[in-house]
Amino acid sequence: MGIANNFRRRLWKTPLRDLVRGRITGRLDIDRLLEESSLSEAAAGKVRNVVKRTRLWRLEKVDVANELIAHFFDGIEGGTPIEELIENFGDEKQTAKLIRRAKKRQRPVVWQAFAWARLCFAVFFGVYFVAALYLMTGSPSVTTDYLVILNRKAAGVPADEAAWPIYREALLEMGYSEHGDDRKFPIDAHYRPGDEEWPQLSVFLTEHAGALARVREAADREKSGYLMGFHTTPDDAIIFEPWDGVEDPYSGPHPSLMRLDILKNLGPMRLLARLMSADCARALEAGDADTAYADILTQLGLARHTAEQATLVSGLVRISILAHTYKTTQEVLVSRPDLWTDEQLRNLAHRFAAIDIRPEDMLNGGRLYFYDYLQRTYTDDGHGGGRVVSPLPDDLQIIRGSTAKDVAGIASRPALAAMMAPRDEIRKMYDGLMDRAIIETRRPLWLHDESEAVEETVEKLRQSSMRNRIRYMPVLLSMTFHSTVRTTLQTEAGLRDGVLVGIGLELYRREYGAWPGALEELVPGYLPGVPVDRLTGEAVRYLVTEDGPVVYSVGVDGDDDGGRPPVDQESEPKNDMASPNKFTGEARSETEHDGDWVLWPVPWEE
Amino acid sequence: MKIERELMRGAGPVAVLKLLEPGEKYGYELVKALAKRSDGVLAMGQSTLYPMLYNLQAKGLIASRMDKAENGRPRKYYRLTGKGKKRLAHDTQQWQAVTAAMGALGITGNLQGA
Repeated sequence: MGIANNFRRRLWKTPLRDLVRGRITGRLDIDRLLEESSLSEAAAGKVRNVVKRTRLWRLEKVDVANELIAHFFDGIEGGTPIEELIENFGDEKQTAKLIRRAKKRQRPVVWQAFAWARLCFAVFFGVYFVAALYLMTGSPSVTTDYLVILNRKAAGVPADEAAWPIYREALLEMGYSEHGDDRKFPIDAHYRPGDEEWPQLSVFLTEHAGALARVREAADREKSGYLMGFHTTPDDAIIFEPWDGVEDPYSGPHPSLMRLDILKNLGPMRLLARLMSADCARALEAGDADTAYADILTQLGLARHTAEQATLVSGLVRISILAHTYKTTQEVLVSRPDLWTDEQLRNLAHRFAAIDIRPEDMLNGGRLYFYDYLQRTYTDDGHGGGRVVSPLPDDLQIIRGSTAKDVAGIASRPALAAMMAPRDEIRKMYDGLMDRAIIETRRPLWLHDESEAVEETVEKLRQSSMRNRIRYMPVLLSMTFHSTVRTTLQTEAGLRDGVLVGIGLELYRREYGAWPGALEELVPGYLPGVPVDRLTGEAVRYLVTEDGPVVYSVGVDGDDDGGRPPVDQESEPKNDMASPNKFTGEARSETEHDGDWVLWPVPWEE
Repeated sequence: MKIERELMRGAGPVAVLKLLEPGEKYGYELVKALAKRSDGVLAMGQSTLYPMLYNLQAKGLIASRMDKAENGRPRKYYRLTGKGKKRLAHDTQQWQAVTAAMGALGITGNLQGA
């Protein structure tokens, strides 16, 4: 039966280039070509099957068809029977495959490049798809409530012995509120005598003497009993905005601990410490020794309560409150040396000396946060292992101050997941570095070896191959605080040494009517021993000037500058510039830190 | 005797290039010449010949042109290119070296003398 040769068919079987030239040739019609060739049905079928199976472009098919038809006719004309030609033709499928492969090699370079690009793209997406599937088939299992562990100490406090409810009542009485968007308090507690706004603050403190007495009562209690968490308790709702927790993308007993604002008590506690410091200044003006003394003890209690939850942040806030307490104590001793009795001074010295800040509390708190992150982002094989199912540590990103999630970042998740180390390897590396960090934090700064420091190990990893950086990404993002903890603790210890020596010096002066010639004269009556310079390991330096005694460390530059603190750009004394907070391997030789770290009297910045 | 496919893959293209050395030929002509001049050893059907020709053309070793045969049908003629001639010279040397080595091993040449 003949093939219809209508216009539509011819149009459909005409190459575009012919159409553009206005010619409807129908030369892509292989069936018509075979029909017109008069080739036997068997041979034509052979050609048709092969050409069809090549899946080449239509023009290429026509070319192949023409060549195969010509071959048959050449054979027939050469005297070979058609049956023999068909028999010698070869396997149709194999022929089509080989012809297709060979013909594609003849295609233009642009097409070849495109084909390779397409192949690469397909392979990439294939791998990506498999990785994504691999990711999606696992889920993290949140099995440990680290919040309970962190709250263990606070949760054991009987309600009638807890300090926090009293603090809360006092805050409410003074007008503290976090309802609405902003924290509200009637007055700025930073002002000091001499400031223009000081009279208003002084009046506020006087008017709220009752609330301050409550704060003193609370600070005297052993424990705070504040429970950190993701929900505002009904009791706390009197000062805090009712809070139903954060959106939790995971299942589990609570959202990720990485949400920093779960310690909502820190801000109010800091404020109370500021108020007590201001009240101490007010009492000092009024010559009220007992109130000033009580206010110092209250600040110590607030600092202790702040760190009831062993977290990094609460530890740092505690140190901040303590530093402010030392400053307030110094203000009293320098401006009214005779305000406090010998007994009050000795008691203060004992209280300061008893302060014990354990670096492991701060760093291990961070460790619990990291474990919590692991259980939320890795599967658990029951033996410590597991694979990451949510590779981008969004919560860690929050700590780094960035919540940006770009499209590329999200799209790369499966690829990242495939490259990231398994759970047990990550935890082992993190624990190893944290254990080293705790040991380093306890080690005196003069024995600190920069080349063996944890931060050097982390930095090397950060500078290593992209593969390593991705593989250990959670560790790299987490190991960022230990050096701050180390120098902050050393700074606090140095400031405490300073205030203890200051108290000892005042007691000595009262007894002998003059300053000692050397700090050794304070031992053992006024000091258990001469403190060591936290930066060198030698005894702290001491000299008596026209203005009184000066106790100092040689500072980060290691040179004795005669008790002269570094100055800032406005030539104002800048004590912090020589303190351990500026301690790095390089800082020792930097001239910008030229000067001593003055421990008594500290040139506190206003 | 039909030779192994792998061997054919090495020998076939050189044989085709050699057959095109004197001048252009069309597909069936090559099939016949291969079968005749190799005593059937290098005989190949369309399934082998045309993919091979297309490959050689893709590599630029041969070129083709369409023309009309005596019977008026379109027919494609293949000829060696300059690149093809160089390749043929190179491959010929290679095959001669292989043949000599095989001869020395008593695999090709006068087996009696081995």
